Amino acid sequence: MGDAKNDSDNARQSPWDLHEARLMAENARLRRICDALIERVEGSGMAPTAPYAAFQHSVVLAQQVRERTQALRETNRQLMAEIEERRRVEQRLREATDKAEQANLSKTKFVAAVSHDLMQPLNAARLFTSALQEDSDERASPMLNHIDTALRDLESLITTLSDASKLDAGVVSAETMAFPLSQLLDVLAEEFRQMAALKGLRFRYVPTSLVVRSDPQLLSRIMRNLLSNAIRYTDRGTVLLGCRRRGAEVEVWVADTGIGIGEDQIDSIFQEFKRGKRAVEYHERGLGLGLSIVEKISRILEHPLSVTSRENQGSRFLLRLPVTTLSQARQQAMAQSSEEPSALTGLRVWVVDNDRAICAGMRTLLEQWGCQVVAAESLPELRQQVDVGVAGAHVLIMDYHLDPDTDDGLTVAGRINAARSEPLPVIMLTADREQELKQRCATHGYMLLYKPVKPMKLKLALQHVLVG
Amino acid sequence: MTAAPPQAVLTAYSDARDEQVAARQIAESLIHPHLGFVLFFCSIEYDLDRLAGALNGEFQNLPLCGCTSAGEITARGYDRNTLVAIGFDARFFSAGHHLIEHMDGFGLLDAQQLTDGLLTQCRERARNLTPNEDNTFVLTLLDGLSVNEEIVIATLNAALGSIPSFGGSAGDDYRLAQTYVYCDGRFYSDAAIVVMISTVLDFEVFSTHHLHPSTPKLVVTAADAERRVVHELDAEPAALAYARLVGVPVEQLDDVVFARYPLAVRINDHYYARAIQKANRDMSLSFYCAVENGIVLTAMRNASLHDNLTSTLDDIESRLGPPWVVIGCDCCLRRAELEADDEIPQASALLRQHRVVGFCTYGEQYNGMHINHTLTGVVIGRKMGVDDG
Repeated sequence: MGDAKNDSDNARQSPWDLHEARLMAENARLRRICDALIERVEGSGMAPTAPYAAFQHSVVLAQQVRERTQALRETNRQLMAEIEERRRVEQRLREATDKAEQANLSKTKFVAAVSHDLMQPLNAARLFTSALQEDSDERASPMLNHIDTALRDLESLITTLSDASKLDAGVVSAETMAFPLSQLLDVLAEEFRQMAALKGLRFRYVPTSLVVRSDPQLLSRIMRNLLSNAIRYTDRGTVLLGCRRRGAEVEVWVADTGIGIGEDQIDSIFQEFKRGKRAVEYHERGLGLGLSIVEKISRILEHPLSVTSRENQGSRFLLRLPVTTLSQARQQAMAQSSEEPSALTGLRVWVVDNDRAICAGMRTLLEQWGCQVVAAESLPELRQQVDVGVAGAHVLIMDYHLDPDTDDGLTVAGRINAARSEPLPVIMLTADREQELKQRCATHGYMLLYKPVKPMKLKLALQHVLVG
Repeated sequence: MTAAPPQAVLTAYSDARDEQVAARQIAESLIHPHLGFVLFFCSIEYDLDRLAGALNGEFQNLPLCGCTSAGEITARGYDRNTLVAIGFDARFFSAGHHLIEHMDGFGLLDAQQLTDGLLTQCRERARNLTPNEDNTFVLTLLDGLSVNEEIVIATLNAALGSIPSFGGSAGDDYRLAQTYVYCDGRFYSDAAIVVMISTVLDFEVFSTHHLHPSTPKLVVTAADAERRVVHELDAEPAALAYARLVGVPVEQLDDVVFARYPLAVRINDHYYARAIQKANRDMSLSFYCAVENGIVLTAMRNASLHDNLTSTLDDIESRLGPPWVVIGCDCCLRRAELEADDEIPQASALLRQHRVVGFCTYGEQYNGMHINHTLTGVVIGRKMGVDDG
């Protein structure tokens, strides 16, 4: 009965009523969802005392930890990347340093080449001046002296530059041998005594008979630098070159009564391009390389160098060399060569140098010494003048660097001697201070002279060759 | 530091039905002069009083902690009705443990005292190390039906600071009646065990799952937060709404369905599964974890559990090397899913391969969070650079 009534009620409802009822229900459901969400949103700021809130709180905390860990990891990664970058920069710096070193080396080569090319005409000029001086009248003499001094200064500047660049490049090495120290110092003393006399200075030399182990070439450069400095910076008084034995060593002194060095500058005088304040006033043209070269060479030679100085009272440089002994045979050889040099008169000398000016200069100088000179710019030219195989000669003066694309002096000398039954003694001339060339000359038994050749040296060399 | 000897971590299991026999078999495998601490998981099938007595008798005064399970993970892989245990060598591990008897009263002060106490225990027992937050982790075993896990874990985590923690809720083979934790000679319910372990070995605490969000969402419109019961979803009876969402008749809702069609809450950018425990007669749904009115549940899709597990453990092992052991707390619904898909053998092989030992849980804990549908645990690896080659 009741069911029937309900059915009839439903039947009476229109589709619109049903639809409305459904929408109402849906609306109510959505409102419930909204309420739940609102409750949740509004409750979300509360302290986590309820289980779900505790869970949510933990999740948020854990997420924060995870994010921070991630951030730390990222920072760590960045740091690692930075370290890697720094490593790369270091690598690039190393490469740049290598390049700079290469550049330095090529600069050295350049300076060496330029020095060599400058030396050639300079050499010729000095030979001419020297020849002129031998027979000049009184009027020309002072001027010639000035020219000679100027040329010598120029030469010394070029040599200094060349030396400095070679020392920097580390291509200079010591070739030590045992020799009587006097052999070197006597010559220097004589040379600088004259220079000192020109300035009105007293020059004292205390010789020694000790034999030392050193490289005569390099040692000579040290002594020359020290001695010329001493004379340059001293106006009155004395320059002393002295030796004193100290146990297994010998001290070589170069002392002067010159301007001295201020205490505040004594540490820096061995630095490149550093010159004492007063030194600048005294000598305008200096490069400030002299003492730095001295210091570098003394290190290569392992000869300790020290200096004491007082301003306006003078300086004292002190070099310590190891003392050694010569073998008997060597001593005899030395004795022979130190005999009174025979006159060069009548000596038949062949000169081969591709520089015409040098050829001419040589000829003038040698002829003044009474030599008979055959000078040529090349081997073919020499052959035009003499029969190299049989013509009589005493010595061959050979330039090492001949024209480009032709044989070098060593080869030419070899050719000439190969044609002869008795080989000629050879004096090799070069501005090239390479160790290798030095050794090759030694192997062939050739004497090696460096350009610019000083007349005195050439004379001694010729005498030496003749005695040998 | 020399290489860890093989007994740095020992694991053993017994499928003996008799409690005495099972306890003895475990003890025979684990006991050695340097054994310092034992952790075990057992089936609810055992007579727990008898088992407690037997374990007490075998291990005497050795510290021993454990809990009941919804299935064990033994050297065979997924297992049932067994007792499985892990023995820690005192030369490499220092362990302290504490029982929380009343979970609902656990406050921050308790958590701080507990943490201090555990650190002290660890320091006193440490032989070759100084326990600190870098060489220490915490394992929690909780009554899985206590509905207090969230508060206890969150509170504990606040006190632990940066010490990593993980754990699992004890199970009872889906009976959903009573779960137990074991400590110092007896089983307790409505209780939690906190174990602190410091070690010279390398370890990594992890948690992983294979779920991805899909589009449908449900809003909880009526819930009993205290009992983890959701009465309504989208203002409809919860079971009905869920059944319609997953396309299953409401009377067929069971563990396999819950396992295959998980729901999750989104917090910021991450999804956290809220595992359904059961559908009730009043069309409400009970959960294994905290729920609340107004939360939005997202339907999740299951990717490959196998692939996820492989990549997770391979990744950790690439850092730690081959593990001595992985202590795993594996959600019981993962196992239900694998069983339904007939994938237990493959999964067991994978667990064996990675030396996973542990149990099937009613919930996992990870750094203060109580979560579901995950494998959560710790990988204990070889000290780097020591054992390689």
